Amino acid sequence: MIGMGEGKINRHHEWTIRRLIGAHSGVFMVYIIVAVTFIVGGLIDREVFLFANVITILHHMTGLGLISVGQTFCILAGTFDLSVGSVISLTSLTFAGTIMGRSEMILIAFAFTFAVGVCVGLINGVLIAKARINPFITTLATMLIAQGVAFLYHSGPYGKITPEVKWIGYGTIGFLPVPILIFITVFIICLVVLTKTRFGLHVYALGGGVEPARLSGVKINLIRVSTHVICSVLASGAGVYFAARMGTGDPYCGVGYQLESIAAVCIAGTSLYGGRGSLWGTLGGVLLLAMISNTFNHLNLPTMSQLILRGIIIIVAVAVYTVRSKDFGK
Amino acid sequence: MNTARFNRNKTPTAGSDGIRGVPFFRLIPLQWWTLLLLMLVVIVVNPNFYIPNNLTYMLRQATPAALLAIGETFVILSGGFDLSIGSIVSFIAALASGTIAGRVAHLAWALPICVLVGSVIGLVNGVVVTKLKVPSFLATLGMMIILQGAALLYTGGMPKGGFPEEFRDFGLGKFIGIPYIVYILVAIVVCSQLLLRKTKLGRSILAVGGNDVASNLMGIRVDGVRIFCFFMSSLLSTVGTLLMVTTFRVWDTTMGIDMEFEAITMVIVGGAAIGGGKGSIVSTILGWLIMTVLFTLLNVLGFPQSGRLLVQGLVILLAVFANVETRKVTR
Amino acid sequence: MGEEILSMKGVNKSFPGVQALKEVDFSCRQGEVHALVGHNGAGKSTLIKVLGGVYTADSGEIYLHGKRFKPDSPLDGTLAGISIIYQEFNLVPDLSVAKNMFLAREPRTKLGFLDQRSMIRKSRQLLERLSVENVTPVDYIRDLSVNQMQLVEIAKALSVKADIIVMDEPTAALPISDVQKLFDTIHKLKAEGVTIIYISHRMEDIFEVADRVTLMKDGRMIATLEVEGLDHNTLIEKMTGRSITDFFPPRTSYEENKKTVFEVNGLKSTAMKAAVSFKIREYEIFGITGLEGCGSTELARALFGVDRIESGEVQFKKEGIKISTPREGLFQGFGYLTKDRRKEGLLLGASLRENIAIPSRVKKHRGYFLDLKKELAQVERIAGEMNIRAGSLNIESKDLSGGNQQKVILSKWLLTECKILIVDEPTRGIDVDSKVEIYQLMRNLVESGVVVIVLSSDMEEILGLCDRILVLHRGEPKAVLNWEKATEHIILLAATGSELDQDGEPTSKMNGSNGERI
Repeated sequence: MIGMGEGKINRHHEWTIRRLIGAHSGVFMVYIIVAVTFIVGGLIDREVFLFANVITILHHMTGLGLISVGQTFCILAGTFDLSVGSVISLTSLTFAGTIMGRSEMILIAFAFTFAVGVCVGLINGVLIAKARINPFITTLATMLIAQGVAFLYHSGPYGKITPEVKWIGYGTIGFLPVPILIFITVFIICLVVLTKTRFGLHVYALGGGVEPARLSGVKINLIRVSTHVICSVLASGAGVYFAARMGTGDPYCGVGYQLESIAAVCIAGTSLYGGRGSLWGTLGGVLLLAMISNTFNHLNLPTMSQLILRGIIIIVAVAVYTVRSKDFGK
Repeated sequence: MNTARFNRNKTPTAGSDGIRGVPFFRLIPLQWWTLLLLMLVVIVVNPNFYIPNNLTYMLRQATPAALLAIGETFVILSGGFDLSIGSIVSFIAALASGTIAGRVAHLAWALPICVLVGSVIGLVNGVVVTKLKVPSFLATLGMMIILQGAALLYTGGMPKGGFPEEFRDFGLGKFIGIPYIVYILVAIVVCSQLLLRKTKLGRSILAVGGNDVASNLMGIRVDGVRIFCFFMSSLLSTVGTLLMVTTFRVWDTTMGIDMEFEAITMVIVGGAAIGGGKGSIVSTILGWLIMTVLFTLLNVLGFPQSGRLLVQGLVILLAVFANVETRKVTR
Repeated sequence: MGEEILSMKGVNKSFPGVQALKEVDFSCRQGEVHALVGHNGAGKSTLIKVLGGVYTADSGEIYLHGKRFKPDSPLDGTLAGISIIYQEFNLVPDLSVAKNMFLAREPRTKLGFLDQRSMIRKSRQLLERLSVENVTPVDYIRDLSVNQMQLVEIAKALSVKADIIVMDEPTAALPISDVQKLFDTIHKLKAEGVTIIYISHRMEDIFEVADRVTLMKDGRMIATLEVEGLDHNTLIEKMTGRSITDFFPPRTSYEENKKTVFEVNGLKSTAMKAAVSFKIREYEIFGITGLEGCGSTELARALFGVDRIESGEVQFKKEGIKISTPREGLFQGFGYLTKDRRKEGLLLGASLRENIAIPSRVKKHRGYFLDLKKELAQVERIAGEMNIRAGSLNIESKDLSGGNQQKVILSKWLLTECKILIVDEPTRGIDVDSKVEIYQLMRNLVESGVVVIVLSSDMEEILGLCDRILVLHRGEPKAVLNWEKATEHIILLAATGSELDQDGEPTSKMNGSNGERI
């Protein structure tokens, strides 16, 4: 384990490329696979290469991308969040339901929806950090509660957005769709936070080793709670986006996203045990999953088979990386 | 050589001085009190509740959930989670519906096939978790998706095949006023509890859940035990499904939805520890009873069906707080 | 070397079942290297952790630079200028050197972002100050060797402007070639006025770097001596102090011709650093000892089938045994008490009774249902024989004292009627009465024909209990001594690398196989 390195790193000028690749081989792999899938898909069906199709893929990515970015924070810190899917459903309802077609309610709807996100995040974070309850049980419970509240609120699609909101889902600035711009902005902000701030460093430290972090003075509980809040807030952002796309809120829209978000994070090598990985990996994972869906669609695979294959791919990917990170981490 | 020194009475909490000095209500686990309380409330709210017909109906409807919960208990006791059981229900129901196709004659081969397939699913789960080292919640979550897809693929999303009258006769049938199904449940409960408490394998499950490293050093086959638990979970889910479909005419897409969460809730409410190592079938059945009575109560009070999930989530949190043992930060 | 900067007076600290520190006084002068020595369990680590704020003392006072110091958390210790470098380093493997060094004290730019340039620059300066080679601030900790990690830890301590650096067994895991580098670093630090508290077993370390040495034993401070003018023998005399008490059951004189019952030839597992061979004879308690990291635990694990064997063979009563999993070990008649009771030896949440019953159940039970009544009777019997003090067999084992826990673990293996019992650190953290009972038990066992192998780093225990002793040094066997010839001095010689023959004399290779002085 520790101390197994032979201390041979010494060629200063080589550190950029080689180290980048070595430490992040998983990320590179994912992007390569993405590229390969894209090319192969295009060879099978020329339509894949169309700009319009690329935009479709990017659209697909936004929802999953937002929550995966949030999930990345949690996983890097050594925890995870199963409630994201339910939060999406719930927030899509609260958002569309608060607006109900009235433009003046937009700001209030935003505020309320994000408040819901913050609340869920706080509950998760506090229960995990202070009450020391297993993340699985905690986020399972909040998942049920959030989904339950969503159903109670309305058992079917509900709420109505306004044209301004619709712009969020369908508008474009220049040739880029708004959602993608939103995602890019969020991504960049989170990337900066993770790599260039104290907070980000502490997230990595916490996941990399609780004891060293604690003994060095990292505020463990604060970081844990924060990552959960970030995750839930981004999930509520995704809820807003879905509402904008669907024109209404839907208590079912978030179903299944928790597994996909965890998979997107882990596919590129981010360890489930925390401390290692990057947002670029998550981005790659999200791209890959979106690409897979897209390719399946073009191959005219029935939805059912898609589901099966997705499940298998996710398990295999996680298995491969779990085995790897277990070797390293021990 | 002083064996008389060891008193054979169970001490309610470790390290305490014996039975004397412990308040009465602590001696009986919290869950029994909760159940009692709930039942009393139900009587108050709806005195008609305890008519035999009502009771048998309630029990019959709830039996499949009990079987799923028992299966889940095995997995949780060994330290893992099985999230695929809801989809197992959906898939097996579809498979059964399709293979039986309304013909009694098919039962002879259709039922064994369903049981076989169900068992294999559990074995696959077990192998993925033990040999590929994928965390159990992820592996079974993936299996859940695969099975959802498989169910849809097999049926094309449409009701396919169906269940014959005779099947339903069995499902509704009673012996001395108690449904056949309930007898089966009781038999399974007794066998499972015996397995857990009185066989080497059963006790090994608890050991593995408690500390798998130490268990390995004591010669227990940790991987084998875990695989067995996943096998039991899917097998019991399959049996539960087959019992459940006796009251239906044909498969539909809503079968099995959210049943994994129901099962987990029951196990936790019953008092099992999440990291594994503590709990029993009896405690799960207690949890099952509590949840069943609770939901019946809510129904009677007019609480909307859609609120079920919310209640489950809250109950889980409550149970976790009440049960200090559950606070282990493990996966 | 200046005045006193640290003074600890009358420090007491106890844990459930054990009084770790008893009225300890300890002080350091500015700029000195002060060694802290004592056997395992003497209280050195506890004292240091009290100083560093990891533990809170039950009573006693600490004065730092003349002012009262009462740390409540490790951070208090760090901020006060006390840096502890633990044996299992406190670094995050997946972060870079620079980031580890400045964790929780990161410099920031005006915009509030991490000032990575500054971190890297300062790290480089610190590394240069310590003349660390081949490590750049952007290297990941997991890629470094032990020596390099240690230097990073020291650099980290310097970055906090520590005036007291505590090093806990710093040379234990270092290859010989790096030990001198460490000493050079220490000299450098001394020149800068840093005070170093150096915890170690190793005589040569102490004579090489220390100015003063404090001896601890059983939680008490025995003496503080100036190193200059001190010689090996006096030091060891002071360390061992009391003569070996009648703690230990009597042994018979060494006989030349006894039957070999257990033989190991060239055994090497993937975790062991070198192949090991030895023989155990009838009615002997066989001890294996060495310094921290000597490889004894790895040897035990290899014997029991926990780690994968690369080569070698094991023979019991002239029959070859092949074991590749602990289960096989159990079935072949082995029993293995691990070093870490809580993590590897017990099911903490399970009852006493269950803990004791399991291995024999695995080994012997056939048929469908367990005969719980019979099991209970067996468990009661052995628990009685072992004198386990507990109100009831249903108590959870996590609530027992250390001594009782160890007895539970012994009981469970004895119940399996094992023929070869390997015990790693049999009495670590156990009260005196239980220790005596356990020693007598082992003697009884060996006399009834069971092979007993004791692994221990407690010199007194090894010298008092065992008939023959194998001394390991970095995984290699260096001497096999019989109890009449063995002394602590000789054992330490072998444990620090000298190869000795049966009489405790160095073998023909005068300078040891690695070129150290003897």
